[in-house]
Parts: sequence; C-alpha cells; structure tokens
Amino acid sequence: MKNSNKIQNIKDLNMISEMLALEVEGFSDQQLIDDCKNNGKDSASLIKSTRNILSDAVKKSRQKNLESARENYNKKAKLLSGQNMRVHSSPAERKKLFETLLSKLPSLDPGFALQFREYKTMSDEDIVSVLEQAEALGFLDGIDE
Amino acid sequence: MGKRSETVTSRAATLKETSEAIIALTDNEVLKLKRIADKRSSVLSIGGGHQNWGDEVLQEAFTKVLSGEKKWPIEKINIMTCLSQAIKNIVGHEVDRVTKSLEGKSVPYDSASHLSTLVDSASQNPLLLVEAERQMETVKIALNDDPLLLELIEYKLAGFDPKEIREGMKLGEKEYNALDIKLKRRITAVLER
Repeated sequence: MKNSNKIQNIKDLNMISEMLALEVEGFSDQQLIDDCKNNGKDSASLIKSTRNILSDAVKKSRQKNLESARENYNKKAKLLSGQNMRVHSSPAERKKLFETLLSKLPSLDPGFALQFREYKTMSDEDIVSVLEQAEALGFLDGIDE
Repeated sequence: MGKRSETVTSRAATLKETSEAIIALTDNEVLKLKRIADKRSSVLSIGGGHQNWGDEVLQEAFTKVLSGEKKWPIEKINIMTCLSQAIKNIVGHEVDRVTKSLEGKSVPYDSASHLSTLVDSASQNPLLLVEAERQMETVKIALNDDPLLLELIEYKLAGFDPKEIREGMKLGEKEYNALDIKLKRRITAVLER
C-alpha cells in the first residue's frame, strides 16, 4: 500500500470520529446516558473526572488573571510613587520645581503659564495641586532632573 | 429615504462571563463535552503514546476559551457550542499537522499547546501508519456482515451528504436514518472496545 493511502486511513478515521462526535452533539440527556451505558462507560465517574479538569482550568485561568492584574497594579503603583516623590518633596523643593516649570511653560503651554503669574502668593497646597496636574500632563518630564 | 444600515457586532464574552458559564455547566453538559472530546480525539489515539487524549483535548479547549484565545460570541452562540467548536478546532489542527508532516509538508506549530507536544511525540511513533491502517481494517471488518453498512461508510468517507447517499443507495428517509444509527453504534463499539 502506498504511503498516501496510509495517510488516507488517518483522514478516514478523522472523518469517522467527526461523524460520531456530531451524533453525540445531537443527543438528548437520556440518549447520552444510554450511549455511555451501551459502551461500558460509567457516566458518574466521567462527569466527576471532567469536572476536575474544568475546575483546574478555571483555577489556573483565575490565577493567571490575578497575576496579570497584580503586575499591572505594581506598574501603576511604581509610576505613582515616582510622581509622588517629585511632588511631595519639601515645600522649598516644590517651589523651585514650580519656578522651573513656569520658566519652561511659555514654550510648552502659554495659557498654562499665564494663569500662574501671581505664583509668589500661592500656597504650598496650590503648588502641589498644580505640580500634580503638570505631572499628569507630562510637563514635568525632563525638567526637574 | 434610504434604508438605514445596521451593523450587528458580535460581542465577545468577558473572562468573568466565560468562567461563570463554564462553572454553571450541568452534569449532562459536562458529560456531553467529555463524550464529544473522546469521540473527536479517538483519531489521535492511533499514534499511541498517551491514554487520555479526550481529557487532554478538553483541558486545552477549556484553557483556550477561558483565556479568550478562542473567543465566545456570547450573543450568538451558547457556551456548549463554543466549547464544541474549540474541541473540533484543536483536534482538526493536530490531525492536519500530523498528516501534513507525514506528507513531508511544513506545518505551523502551536508552540503554546501542550497537546501539540504530546501529539508530536506520539506521531513520531513508526507504528502510526500501520495502526491507522489496522483500525480502518477493524472498522470495515466490523461492518463486513452487512453490505449496506459497508456501502454507507464508503459513501460517507467519499464525502456525500445524506440526500445524495439516500439517492445513491435508493433508501427512504426512515431506512437511511435507521441504517445510519446502526452504522454509528457498530463503529462506536469497535473504536471504544
């Protein structure tokens, strides 16, 4: 027999497997139980072993999702702690950072700079708030180092 | 006024929806999936090397659906159909890989698949082709006492649909259905022996 004929046997067996699987897909509950019984299969033990596979897959999937969520959280936390380090340094440092920001702002955003002409009268709390906004807008990148 | 065209988009289920639906499967649904996986994967067992191909295929199907690799269009099909499709695709892909590899063609490899590794080690078994031939012989011998069953399997393997087979074998619908059930029972008994 030629090799191609032998390979055809695999394809034929696949077609037969497909035919039998399609039949099972259309089985009623009773036909399903009868099919197991007629072929010497214990349906209760099949259900139990399959539920174990299912639970294991769900558990692994949840663990994977949890790991991925934890990784995302850690990335964000790292980013936030980096921001806080810059914004929550001492009042003097914050004022210095704010002044540097203002000196660069006309080129970054003239409107933004115009709002803070009277910055010398601003409280430290206001400066923190502005720095946080500037950080979120990316205005602090590369200017406070 | 022109007709308003409506685009119906098929939403993929969230991972939460998918895992909830899988956990909520009834015992009979679980049993049905197991039997579908067993029947579909019986073709993989011809390479030997592993005892529980159905379980391996089921595990892979659950994983693919739960990870979202196989998307579940929740508004279009139910979870059973989605899982059945996953089982079909997994086995189909492996059979395709093995047959193409035996034909000397290059085969795309699913590197993420644990099953592919198992199939590969089994399909390197030199007895694979002999075993496939032996199984087909066994199927035909089991049908040998009934020329109608032999004729029916030949039609099916040649890819004819039920209507064409009924016409070719000059069978009424009831006769055909009865013969079809007999054929499937006979083959199941042989393959699950």
